[in-house]
Amino acid sequence: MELIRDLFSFIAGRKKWWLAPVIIVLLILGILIVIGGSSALSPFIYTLF
Amino acid sequence: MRRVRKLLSLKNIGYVLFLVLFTILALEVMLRLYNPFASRLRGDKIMLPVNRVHHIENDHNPRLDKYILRTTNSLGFRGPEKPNDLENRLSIVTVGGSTTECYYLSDDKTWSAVLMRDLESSFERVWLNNAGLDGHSTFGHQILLDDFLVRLRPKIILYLVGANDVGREDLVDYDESIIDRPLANVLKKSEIFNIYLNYHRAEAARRLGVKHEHLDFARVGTRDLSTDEMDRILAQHNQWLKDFRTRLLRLIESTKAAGIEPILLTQPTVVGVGVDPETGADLKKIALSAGSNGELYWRTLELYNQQTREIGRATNTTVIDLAVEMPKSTEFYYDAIHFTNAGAARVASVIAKDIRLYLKSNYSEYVKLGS
Repeated sequence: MELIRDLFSFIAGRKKWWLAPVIIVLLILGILIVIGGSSALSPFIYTLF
Repeated sequence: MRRVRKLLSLKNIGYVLFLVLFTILALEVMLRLYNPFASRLRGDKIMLPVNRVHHIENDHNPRLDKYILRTTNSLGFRGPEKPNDLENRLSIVTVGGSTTECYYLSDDKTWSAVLMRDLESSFERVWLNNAGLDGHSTFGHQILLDDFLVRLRPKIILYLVGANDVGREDLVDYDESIIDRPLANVLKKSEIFNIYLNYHRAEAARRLGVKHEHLDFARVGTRDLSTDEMDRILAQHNQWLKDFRTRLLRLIESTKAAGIEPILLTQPTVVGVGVDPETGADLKKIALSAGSNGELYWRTLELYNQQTREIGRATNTTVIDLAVEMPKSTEFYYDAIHFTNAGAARVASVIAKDIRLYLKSNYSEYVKLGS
């Protein structure tokens, strides 16, 4: 969490806002990989159709 | 004021929009390379899970096996591979929702697998595949039939219907639903949009209380509902029943038109009338999700099962009344409708008993000598 805060303060300090989406995308990728290895997948199996 | 004006300058707004767009596009690309959400739906198309091997370690439901092995063949169904001489086989496909798929039962313990072994004792060249898909209603079965099963052309399809058609107001105007609008036709090609859509569908399953759960009948408690309250709730189903009837009729007609014989199965539930011999729970008053109780859920399901029976009679289609024939005991169910290993075995034996005569008279060339 501190790392993320540091990254965003770096971006804000240097006004390198173009880095923000790169970090957001990497964060989401990390979350997806974690979800991919867990049982949280099952909600997407039981889809009413 | 100058600072606000500077922040709202066209350049800055464009920059923000560019960043947002870049993030969405990058996420879309990532999801196309690796999508961990194992959904079987993309827009209104079924994406069958082909050649998958899935080991499930179950440590939350003591009524199920600790290790569950699920595999799918090259068709995306559970069961043996499609043989080259399918037209010479007594080919049967089982279609339904979660109570057919038996997601949390190992391959050899689903009722489809047990049924195949049972039929093999009396018939030669039996080929049976389980095409059940969690959450699918008669709407989904029609798409499965049109997109996959008509081409496969098995001799018989067993349809276990009802549970996922209950209270489906979203299917009333399905043709006009969001996924058929022009903008949505573009959106439904997007991985991000499909994750949203499937999350929405999964939430709908949770709201209707049809998802898998471990229901401990000894501890779950009771819920009293007055007769008036139940009658009022049941009356709301009239429109949905009419739509269910229309969908089921169309499904039977198109199955027969494709040269496939449909057989209908009613949806059993453990709840309803009586006392559970395993736990002593009152099956009428047992509290269920979505504010329901045993009696209300059973009476609701019976409305749909009655339609299935009537349509069977009207279209001269064989109906196997699992709702009547399955014993009401938690030995056979781990929640209101999903089968344990013992339940799946019992379902298979009921079906085998009921269709053996039908198969012997209609497919006599497959009968084993001396059986």
